[in-house]
Amino acid sequence: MAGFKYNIDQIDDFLNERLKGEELIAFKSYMQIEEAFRKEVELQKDLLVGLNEHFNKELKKKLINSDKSIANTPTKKVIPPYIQYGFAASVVVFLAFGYFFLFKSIDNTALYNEFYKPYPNIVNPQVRGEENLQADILQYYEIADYNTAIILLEKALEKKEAPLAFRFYYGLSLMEIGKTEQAIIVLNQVTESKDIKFNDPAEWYLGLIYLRRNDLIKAKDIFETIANSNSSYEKRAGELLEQLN
Amino acid sequence: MTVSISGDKELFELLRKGDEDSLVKVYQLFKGNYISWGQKNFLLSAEECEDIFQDAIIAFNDNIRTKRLTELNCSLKTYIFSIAKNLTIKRLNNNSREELKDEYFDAPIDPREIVDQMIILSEKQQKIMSLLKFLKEPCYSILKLYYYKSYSMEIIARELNYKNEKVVKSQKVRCMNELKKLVKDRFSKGDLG
Repeated sequence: MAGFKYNIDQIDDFLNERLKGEELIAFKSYMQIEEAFRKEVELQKDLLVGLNEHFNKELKKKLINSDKSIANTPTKKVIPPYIQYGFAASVVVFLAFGYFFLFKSIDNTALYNEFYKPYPNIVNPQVRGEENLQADILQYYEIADYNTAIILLEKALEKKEAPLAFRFYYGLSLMEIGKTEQAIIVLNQVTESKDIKFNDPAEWYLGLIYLRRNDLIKAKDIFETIANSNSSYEKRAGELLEQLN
Repeated sequence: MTVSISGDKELFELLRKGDEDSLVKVYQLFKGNYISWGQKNFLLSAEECEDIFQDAIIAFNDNIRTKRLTELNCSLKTYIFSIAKNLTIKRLNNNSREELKDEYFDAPIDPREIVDQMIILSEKQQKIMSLLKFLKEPCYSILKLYYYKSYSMEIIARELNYKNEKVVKSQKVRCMNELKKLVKDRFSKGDLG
């Protein structure tokens, strides 16, 4: 036993129940006869428990912070008097024209609902079957589990060679869960690629997002461009513009 | 909505690699459902449910990183909700072992074991835990990746831009010695047993 030598890895292995057979017997025997060694093992055990719990606590903070960033509570600010007067004046204007804008907004929502349909998954399962990862990710879009689709697509898009289809369906998934600002950025990236397959639908959905957000200037601008092009959405854009005007 | 197990496996693989961002996303994805369930069945506040669900996510992660959970035989949601359910019961009444039936709570692996394995820290371990924040880089990252995330020396070398795994191994020993020194400097011999 006097010849027994140990290193820190052996202590780790013992604490993680990885030591087996004769090595384990020798280790335990040495612990029994050598008080200093037993204390060393106990200290290492406490250190590992402390380490793990510290990092668990750190992880819990990360979860709590993720809630805070989502809640995004606005801070309360002191409002200067001139803004208060301005606000009062705007209330008068609102009362005068409120009904007009309210009903116009309802009209736009109805128009959006009339023209909006979720875009189907056009990546054929047989074709995309060559890569199971793609198939699995787009499966979530197909079953309308957009939150999961977003998580997986974000990861997939970290790779440079990620297919454009991923960016396109990522934009549509964001749109589906109401993250329209992000959806606009992503779908604009898709239109920049000028890929025939995804350019036309990306432009169409961009127009619909602006319509949904009541940003009529940008919506009309996009629908006019589509209506005057050879886009597969040319006819639909023309019909929508007629109703919008 | 039922999600395919094959799809969950992609997400599970990311979690197995220690991707904390994916874990946060999983937490955000299922948290709302759990809060509704906890409020409805136990009349808990949203804050209490949130706290329990955070602990459930940590217990789930513990199980993955310690390799007690290496394969997923049910959906992620089912598994995590099973842990959360048992944590809820445990918190409300430590002696209660009642079973609740719910569509999410039929995990083939018994998450009760996970809950039972949750550690109550000794005073000494709590003191050690509070000292970790004084540990500097690169030791903080090395010890986190090696002991908490169970990364191999090879992966740590790649992640932290070390020449090779031997360099990391030596550095890890130095880091543990630094932590021991920190502990010994702070506490009397009596405190450390």
